[in-house]
Amino acid sequence: MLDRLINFFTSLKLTVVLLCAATVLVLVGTLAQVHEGLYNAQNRFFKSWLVLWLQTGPDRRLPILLPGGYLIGTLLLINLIAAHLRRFQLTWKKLGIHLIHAGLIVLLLGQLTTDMFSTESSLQLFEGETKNYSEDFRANELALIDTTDPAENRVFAIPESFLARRRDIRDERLPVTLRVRNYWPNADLLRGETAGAHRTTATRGAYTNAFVLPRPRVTDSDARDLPAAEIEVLAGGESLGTWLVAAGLSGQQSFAHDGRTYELALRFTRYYKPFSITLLKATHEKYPGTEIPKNFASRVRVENPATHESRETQIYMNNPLRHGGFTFFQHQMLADDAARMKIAQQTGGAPPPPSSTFQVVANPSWLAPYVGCLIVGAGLTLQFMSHLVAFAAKRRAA
Amino acid sequence: MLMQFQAPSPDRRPPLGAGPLLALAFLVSGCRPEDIRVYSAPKDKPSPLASTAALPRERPAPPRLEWTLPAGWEEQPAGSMSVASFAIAGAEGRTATVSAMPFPGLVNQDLLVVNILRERSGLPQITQDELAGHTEPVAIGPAAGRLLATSSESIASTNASPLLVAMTTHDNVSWFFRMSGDATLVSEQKPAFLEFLKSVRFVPPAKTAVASTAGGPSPERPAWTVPASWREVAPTSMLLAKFIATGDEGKRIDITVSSLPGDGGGLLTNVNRWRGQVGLAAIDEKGLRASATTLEHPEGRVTVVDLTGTDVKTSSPTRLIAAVMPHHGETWFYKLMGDPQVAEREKAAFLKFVESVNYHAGSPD
Repeated sequence: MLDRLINFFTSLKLTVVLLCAATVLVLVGTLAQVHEGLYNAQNRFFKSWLVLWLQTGPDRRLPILLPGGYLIGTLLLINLIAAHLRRFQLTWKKLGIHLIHAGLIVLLLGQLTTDMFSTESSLQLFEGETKNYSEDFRANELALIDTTDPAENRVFAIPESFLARRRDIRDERLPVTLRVRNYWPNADLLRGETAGAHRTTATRGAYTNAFVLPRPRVTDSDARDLPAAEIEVLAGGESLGTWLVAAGLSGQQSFAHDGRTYELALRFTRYYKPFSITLLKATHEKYPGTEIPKNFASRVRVENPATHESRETQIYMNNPLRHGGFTFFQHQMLADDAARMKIAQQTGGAPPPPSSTFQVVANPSWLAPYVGCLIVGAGLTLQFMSHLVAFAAKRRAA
Repeated sequence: MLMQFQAPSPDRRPPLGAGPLLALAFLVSGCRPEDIRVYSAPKDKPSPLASTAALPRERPAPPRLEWTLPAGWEEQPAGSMSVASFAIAGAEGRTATVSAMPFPGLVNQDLLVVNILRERSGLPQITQDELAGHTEPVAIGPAAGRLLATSSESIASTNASPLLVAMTTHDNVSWFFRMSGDATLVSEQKPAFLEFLKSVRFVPPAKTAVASTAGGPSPERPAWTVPASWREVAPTSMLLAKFIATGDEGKRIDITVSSLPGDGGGLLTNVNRWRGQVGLAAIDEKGLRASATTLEHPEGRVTVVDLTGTDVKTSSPTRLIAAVMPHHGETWFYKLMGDPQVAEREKAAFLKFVESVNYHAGSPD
């Protein structure tokens, strides 16, 4: 039995089957982006163990069974390591082969660790604004914030998936129980009634007269869902009221309980940093007389209280800021007067201050592809040279 | 101030060099459920954007405008920032454009808007004193306004387009009227521009609009005469009205009516989107001019496109006839799509239906 298992995992046939499965997965996963969008398709096909269905239309699903990216990657890794160990021979002649395999293992592990541990988030700053956190591009969280301490906040951040369960959120770490009375994965909040809108049952907070209009979930990779929920706060079995919370609202909603003050908000998931960044100046240059962008640049100040560091630097295209293990790329900008006026026209007020958005990337295994390729390259060179030398020697002898 | 996390943060970095163990971690963490994070965080620094209890996804309805159209002017689909837009054709191929832009709630920002318009015309920016010193009084409907004309010296020195900007504030809405184009034509049309400004009537917004994926407000339905062979059905959320007409063997066509603010994304963009729906290749402006026809309507010229191809969703032969009509800052889309035989039978009725549209008679309901 063990022999059969070893034979299976060290088989070259398994390698071929897995590579074929990977080809099919890439093809189907790419086609699936038509209906599911880039983000959803990537998660369902490449960041999963099994794929059970294929979206073939807005409301149509075709049952299928495909190994997901995690399953194929893991089996390939096991197959590679097992085959290498079984056939391992410590000879100079095989050194090139060993190096090639080692490089492939580094590449596979590097991809897996990148997938599991790298993060991408967004940092939007208005001119003059300072932040020490970035926000997730997609994920949201229900934040219960104890603001009583004048020095700092105590944050209880609850993932959006807890809201989707529509059950009471009880946890010994939480000071209250949160009852999810309603949850919409994507919604607009309106002041007036309209067809299909739900009149909120919120009894407290800033939005007791609002209407919630459910929206289909977005599939466009450039857009994001803006969820909304009605949360009833319970303490000691008694209701303190129901609040309407929604991602993207800036109004603060607070309540008092047991001598402490709390805020409740549904917000983009925050990732705090041990340093802060201030946007000093956002520059959007255009070629004169045209709307063609010439340059986007952000002047920022980085301050790290732990290291007493305080420096100014410029972030622009192909010149990111690298600090504290994070890379800040220039991502979006709203500094153009015409664009700001357009927003003012649409929102009915003053134009927003110029702003700049950075893509914040942390990838602990960013060196893995470089190291893996170097090892594979060295192995290929060694293997090729050893054959060449042997061939030349044989020819000389003849 | 350093953070003190009591629960792992998703973006915390694992130590480098832990490579071999990460594969195992991957297997474990891939199945790890999300958990509540509890941590201390510094207070947020004040934001330049004031905290507000307003609903950010709600936007005011665009103000509306009525006018008397000067001779030789032709109404165009409104632009992204304008509620009315006009083209003027002069002798020897000379052209000029006029547009009206409202900014609800925006006060004391005339200089900013004027400088944006000047920048678009290739003119240098001016100061508040220069703006005050170079404007002359002008009547804009019932309101008193100011008119800023570009001096001929600055046009000659910068090789820019001449620009007339009239501005006023009415009911807490700042209005800007811009005329630009060929220097001779702008000079000739200045009296007509002033008459146009006098004729302007400010109309309150129809109702509160909702920012949505559909792109704007749902205007009231105009009056129209529905052909006897059509049957009205419930429209989907993005439509104002929907009708169906049937033929033999279950063949049918759908007739839909929708409206979008401004130019609705542009005529060419919409035509190419429809061409894509019936499996035809995209065309350019020249191709659009060659293939589109026009229909005269009291509101102005209606562009009609007639496409025959294969429905990319059902792979069956299909015909799509669409009429695009600008009307007071909005663009109305009347679209017929379905079986080619039924479409051919109903084409005349469809065009008559479009001709019957009356925006001033209220809803037919």
